[in-house]
Amino acid sequence: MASVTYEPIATTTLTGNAKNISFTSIPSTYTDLIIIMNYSINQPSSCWVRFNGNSATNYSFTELRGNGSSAYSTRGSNQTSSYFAFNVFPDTTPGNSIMNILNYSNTNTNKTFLTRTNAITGSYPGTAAYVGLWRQTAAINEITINMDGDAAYYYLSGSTFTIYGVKAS
Amino acid sequence: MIGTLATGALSIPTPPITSSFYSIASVSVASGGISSITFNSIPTDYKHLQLRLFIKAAATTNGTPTIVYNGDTSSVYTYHELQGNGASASAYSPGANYGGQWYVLGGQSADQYAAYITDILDYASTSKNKTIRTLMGFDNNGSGRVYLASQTYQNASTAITSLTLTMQSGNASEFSHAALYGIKD
Repeated sequence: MASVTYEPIATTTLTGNAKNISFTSIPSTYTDLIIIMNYSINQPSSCWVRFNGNSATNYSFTELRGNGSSAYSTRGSNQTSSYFAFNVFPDTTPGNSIMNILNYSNTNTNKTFLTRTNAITGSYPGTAAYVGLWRQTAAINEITINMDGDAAYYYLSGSTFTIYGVKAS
Repeated sequence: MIGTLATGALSIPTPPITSSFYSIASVSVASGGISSITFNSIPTDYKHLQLRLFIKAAATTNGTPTIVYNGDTSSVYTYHELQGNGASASAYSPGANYGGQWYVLGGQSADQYAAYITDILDYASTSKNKTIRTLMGFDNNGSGRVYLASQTYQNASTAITSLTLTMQSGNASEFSHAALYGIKD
C-alpha cells in the first residue's frame, strides 16, 4: 500500500548573516534526504557541503554548468568538502540549490548525491548540475553548509535551508 | 551579524502528514545482485511518477540500466542528454526513435553507486505521449559524469502501468536500490 512521505525534518531561515549552517541529529529512518536551499551571499564565493563533520579529503564532485553562452564541466577530487555552487553562485539576489542525497543512512555504501544549482545574477550566473561523492560508509547524521573564504564571506539574512526526508516503502 | 548558526529548528509535524508524495514500491538488491527490476501494476491515480535509483553495476563497461515501459520494446523511445565528464560538456542523442529501449547512458564504472532521479510526467494520460526527464551521475574521485537527460515514450493512448529496469550487462550489485514514488495533484 502506498505511504505518504517527503517529510520536513528541519529548517532554518537566517535572521542574521551566517557563514555556515549545520543540521545535526538527522534521523536515519528515511531512505533519501533532500536539501532545498534558497540563498543569497554577500560576495562571489563557492558553496560547499560537509557530512558528519568529516573534514578529511573524502569528497569529490563532477560539475556540468552553463552560463548563457557556453557549457562547461569541471571536477574536484580529494577535497575536504563537496561543492554545490562552484562556478555558478548567486549574489544578493537569491539563487537556489536542491541537493538529493540517496541512501544516506546505508552503512554499506559510500554516499552519492545530486545537486541542481541556479543563479540568475551575480558575477557568475548560470545553471549547473553536480554529482558528489563522500567516500565514507557511515550514515549521514550531520550536514554542514558553508562557503569558501574567510569571515568576510557569508550567507545573507533571509536565506532558507530546509531538509526533507523521503522514505521508500 | 556574522556567526555560526548552530542548528536549524523545526517542530516536526504531527501525523497525518499533508504531502502529495507517496511511496509506491521499492526494491533493495540483495547479495548476488539482480539483472532486472520490475514495478508492475502501477496505479493510475497519481499525476506523475518519480523513480529514484541508487545503482552500482557489476560490469565495468556497458553496465548502465535501461528502462522499458509496459513491456514495450518497439521503437517508440527518444533520448537526448547533456553530459559533463569533468573536462568538457557535450550533448548526445542516438537519433531517431531509439531501438526499442530507453538507455540511460552513463558509462558507469563498477566502483561507485550512481544516482538517478527520473520524473515521468503525466504517466497515466491516455491522450499524450509521455515526457520523462532525468538527473543522473556518478563520481569516482577523479573520474565520473553528470547528466541532464530528456526522453519520451511515444505512446499517447496508454497509461504506464509497468516499468522494467534492466542492466545492460551483468547485474546491479548488492545494496543497489530502486524506489518508485507517485505524486498527486
